[in-house]
Amino acid sequence: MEELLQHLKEIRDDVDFENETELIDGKILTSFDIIQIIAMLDDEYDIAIPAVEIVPKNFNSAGAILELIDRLKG
Amino acid sequence: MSLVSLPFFIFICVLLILYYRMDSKHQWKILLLAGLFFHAWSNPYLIVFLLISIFAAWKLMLNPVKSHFVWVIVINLGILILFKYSVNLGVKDLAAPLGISYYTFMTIGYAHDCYDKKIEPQKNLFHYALFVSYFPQMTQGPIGVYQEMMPQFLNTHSFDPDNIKKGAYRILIGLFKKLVIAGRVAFYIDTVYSSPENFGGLTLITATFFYLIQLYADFSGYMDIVCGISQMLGISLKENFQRPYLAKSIPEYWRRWHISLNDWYRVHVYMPAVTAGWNRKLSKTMGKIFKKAKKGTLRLIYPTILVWTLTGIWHGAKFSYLAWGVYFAVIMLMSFCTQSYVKKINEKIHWNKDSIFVKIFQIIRTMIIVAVGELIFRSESFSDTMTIFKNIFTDTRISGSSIAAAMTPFGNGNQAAASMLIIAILIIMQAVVEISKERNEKAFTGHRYVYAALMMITIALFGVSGASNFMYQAF
Repeated sequence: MEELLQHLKEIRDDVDFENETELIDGKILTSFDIIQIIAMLDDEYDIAIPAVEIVPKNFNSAGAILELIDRLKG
Repeated sequence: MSLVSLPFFIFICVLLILYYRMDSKHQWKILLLAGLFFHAWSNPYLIVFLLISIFAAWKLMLNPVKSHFVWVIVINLGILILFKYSVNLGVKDLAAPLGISYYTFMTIGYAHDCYDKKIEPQKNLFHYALFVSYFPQMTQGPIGVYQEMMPQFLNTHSFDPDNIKKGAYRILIGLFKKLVIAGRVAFYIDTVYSSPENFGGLTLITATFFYLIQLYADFSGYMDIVCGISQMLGISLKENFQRPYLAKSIPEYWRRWHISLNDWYRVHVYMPAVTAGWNRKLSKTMGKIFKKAKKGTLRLIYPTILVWTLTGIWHGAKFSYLAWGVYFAVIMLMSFCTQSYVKKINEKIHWNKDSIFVKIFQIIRTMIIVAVGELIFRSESFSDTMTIFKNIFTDTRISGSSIAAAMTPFGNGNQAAASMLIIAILIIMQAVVEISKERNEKAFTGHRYVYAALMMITIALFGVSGASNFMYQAF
């Protein structure tokens, strides 16, 4: 989790990724940020995220992103 | 059947009576029949293409495998291309089925969502047919999303006077925008853009900004009318505009303008392209060359170019449309690529993002960038675009004669000045109406009647009769 938070901070240092649970529904992240996150996950965790997984519930919080990583890795 | 016509008014009245008088379990059937009738009214033969599209997509997606999804795309895009580019393909100019662009988008969106297993395929052919042929959104959008619209269609709706009042008010706002504002400025724009070489910079700049007003008033006015009609039927449509000219950047502008189309592109073209294997490989290769570039930025270069080129040529096979698409692709990419640098510069010069002056600067800057794009879009040819740019920068004399020339489309002397003043007042009134629209959720208060009366008077006095075709119908 620590590592993921670090990478997320590099993309948007003004967002409280630790506590925020409405990153998408609360319109905190833009589609540009999401693409940055997708590219970061690809580089750092070596996972290709299919378009069908790009839905709000998978990106609303750091926890949800971590779950997505675990699911796609597993 | 134009939305601004007597037959349409009668059609709506009859529909509302039937809709609320009959047993509510038949309401969806009435909407389906109304949609097919509305479509057939424009051309009774071309409805065949709508029916082919409906049946093919419904039947194929009952089993949503990849080959079926591809067939839905081939059939629908095939028909769309045949009608849209018939002249370019060497066939004679064919009259296209009503709303073909919009129902094609909805059909492909539905098929894609079925294929991605986001939704269960609709088993009832007639229910599916209603989704595609719901008349308020058929001609010009908003592009409906199946999972948002279907439950509303199948629900029963009891008569609610509040919905009728709010819907009627919204229709009035739409008529006001369309007939008064868009209709009035159209004269000026058409005159100037039909022979731009005859006009100086001032006139051309004025015409271009009027064009921004016309585009918004025409298109969002249409949306107000159809959203109002739909509200009367108890069905809420997706909002297509969110005060776009107050956007502070181009990406933000495109999140506020023609929202349903941009959402469609994002879900069905942009994100699949971003995550596609070919794009992943290409961006990794580019990452080796441009080591300092952000990985995410490299990921969106090709999808951005793809989406904007498609959006451009979707408007028609014309150089201006393609150039407009490429222009916005470049602007969007520049905005993405420079984001981190701009942020650093802003920090260094202590640029306060929350200051009102900074916000105004950003709004004006965005509007100018949009205006340049729409200037390209509106030009009748490439040489016209060049002439307009040249005159804007070289013919900037503000002399009595150039002001008179700028006024020419409005008449002479006092008449021209009065017309300009009226337009200015109308635009301010419009801003007031827009703000009051945002409070639409609240109770229908007394001051609405005053606005409604004012709008009716202005429509009667200044409405341009005959301005019944909406600009986006052509696309």
